[in-house]
Amino acid sequence: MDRRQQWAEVLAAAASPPADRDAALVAAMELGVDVAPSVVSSSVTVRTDVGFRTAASANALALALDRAQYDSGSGPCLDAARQGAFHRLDVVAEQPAYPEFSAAAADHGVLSSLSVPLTDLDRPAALNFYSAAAAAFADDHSRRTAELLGRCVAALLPGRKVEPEVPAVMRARRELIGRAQQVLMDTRGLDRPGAFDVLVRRSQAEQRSIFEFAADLLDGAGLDGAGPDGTGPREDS
Amino acid sequence: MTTEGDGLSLQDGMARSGLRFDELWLRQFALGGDAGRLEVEAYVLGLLTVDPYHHDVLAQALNECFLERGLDHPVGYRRAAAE
Repeated sequence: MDRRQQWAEVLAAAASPPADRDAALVAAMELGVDVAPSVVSSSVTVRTDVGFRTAASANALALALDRAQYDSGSGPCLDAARQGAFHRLDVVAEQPAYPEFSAAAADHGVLSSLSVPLTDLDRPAALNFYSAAAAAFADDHSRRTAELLGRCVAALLPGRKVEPEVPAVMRARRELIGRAQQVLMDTRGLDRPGAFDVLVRRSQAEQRSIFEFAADLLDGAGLDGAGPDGTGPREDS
Repeated sequence: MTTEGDGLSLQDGMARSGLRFDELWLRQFALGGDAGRLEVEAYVLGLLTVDPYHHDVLAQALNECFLERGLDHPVGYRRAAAE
C-alpha cells in the first residue's frame, strides 16, 4: 500500500476508531518506518493491572526488546511511560542505566531508540521505535512524526482522555469568516475557496488580520451582501 | 529551509512560529478549516497531501500568528499566490 494512503487510513481510524482496533494499531506500527532512518520495529507499551505489557508491535523484534525491559524493570519505554517524557537513546550500547535492554538491543542489531509518552491516555503508556542506525531520531522531523503517530495510537487505545472543547472565541471567529465568505460568494459568484482567496489577498495587501477585514466587510455589506467598498464585484488582484 | 511559492513552507513556518499543533489546529478551525487535529499535523509534516485551499488556510493560520508579531505573511500560499 502507498505510504500516504496508509497514513490516511490510520488517521481516519484514529478520528473514528473502527471495530477492529487491533488491525489499525498494527497498521500504525508499520508506519514507524517513516519516523526515522533504518527503523526496524516499533511497539506500544501500556501499563495494565498486571504490569507493563506490549499492546501492539510491528514485529517480534520489538516484543523481545520490550520484554527485556519489563523483565528487568528498567528501560527507556518504561521511563517514558512512567515519567511522561521523551526518552531518546542515540547510542543504546552506552546506557549503563539500562544494562539488560542495552544487551538485548545489541543482540538484535539495534543501535538507537526513541520512546514517546502517550499522555492522551488515562494510564502510563509509550510508543517505542527501534533503529539499526545510531542517532536515528536526532532531528526535529523524527520527533514530530513520532508524536503524531503517538497521538494516532492513543486514539486507538482504551482510556483516551476527552479532548478540550473549542473556545467560544474561536467558534465566533469561524462564524465570522464563514459569513464573510458567504457575502463574497453571493456578490461575486465565487466558490468557498475563491472567497477565502479574496480575504487572504486583502489581508496581505493591507497587512491586517483576516478577521479584521472580515468584520469590516460585514459591517459594510451586511449579511445581504449589498456590495459596498471591499465587497463589490471588482477584481481584487 | 524549504519554500512554498514566494514564502516559507508550512513546515518551516510552523517551526519558526513556535506554535504547538493543537494551537495551529484551533487557528485553522477559526479560519473555517475542516482538517482534523491529526490531519493538520500530517499535512504540515508532509505525510499527507493537502489540497491547495486547505494549504492556504493553514498558511493563513500561521501568518496570522506572524502578523501578531509584526511580520508580514512569511508563509507562502498556493491559490492566493497563483492568481
